Amino acid sequence: MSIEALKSDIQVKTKETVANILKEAKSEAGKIVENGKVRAEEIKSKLAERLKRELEEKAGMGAATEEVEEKKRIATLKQNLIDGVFNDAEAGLRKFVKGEDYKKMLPELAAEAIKELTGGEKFILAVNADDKKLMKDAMRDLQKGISEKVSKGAMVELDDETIDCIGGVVVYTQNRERSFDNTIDAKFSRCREETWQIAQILFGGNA
Amino acid sequence: MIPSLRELIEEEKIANQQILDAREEAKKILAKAKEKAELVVSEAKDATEKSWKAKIPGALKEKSKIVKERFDKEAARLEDLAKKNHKKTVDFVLKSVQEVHA
Repeated sequence: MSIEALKSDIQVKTKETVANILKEAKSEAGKIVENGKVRAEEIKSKLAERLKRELEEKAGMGAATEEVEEKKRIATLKQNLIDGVFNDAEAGLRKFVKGEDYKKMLPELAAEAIKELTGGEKFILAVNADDKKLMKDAMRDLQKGISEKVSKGAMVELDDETIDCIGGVVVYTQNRERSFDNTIDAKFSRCREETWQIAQILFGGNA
Repeated sequence: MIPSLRELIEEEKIANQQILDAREEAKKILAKAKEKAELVVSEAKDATEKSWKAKIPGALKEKSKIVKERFDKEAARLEDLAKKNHKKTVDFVLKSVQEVHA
């Protein structure tokens, strides 16, 4: 073989080798990029799943906080609606104590209180200034009723001092050690404590 | 050394250098490919994160809207009932207060 032929052979083989090296590298590079794309898709899907879960948790927490606030709003609304009932009821009671039925009721309230205080011999009745005359006028009948129905020797007496209330009576035992508050205000307060029952009626059993 | 042998050795040297250069070039090609693959992954990650982060305010707003609507309905229902039963309840209170067991 001539020298030129040998040189040419070296060149051809080298060209082939170089071409192969580059071809393999390009093919490997293509695989790397493809793998990268596949990995990217996997990461995308896993990440999306995790982020979705996080988003749901975040939204859930936000909703829970919001729900607490909304529950507070509903509780306030209910309280306002119940307060509206008590406001109108109070206005009704103020009107009621000016009427005829109340005139009959006042001595009954006194009798009821005396019954509750059983055991005393003398009872002192305290009413507001507006009711003083009304109670005074009813004292004779009340005394009679108490003697007959509660205690034979029991005496009733109207207090000189008046009390501040919508109506009704506070009855004390003689030594003022015991008393029974049967004012309209006290009865109204006792009724106000039954909020649950009031709510049941107001919200039709859906309180 | 005879000149023809020297020429051949020279040719071999050139060939070896060309092969070494090709290997260097191959390394560069692979490095570039790795870089590109990493970029694809990183871009996918960023794009996914960005897209989900963008969804957060809307999702929170939507959830909040649902909660608010539910409680708005409840408030309206309670107000309706209270309106309907107000007088009955006031009468019940008045009756309770006016009740005497003498």
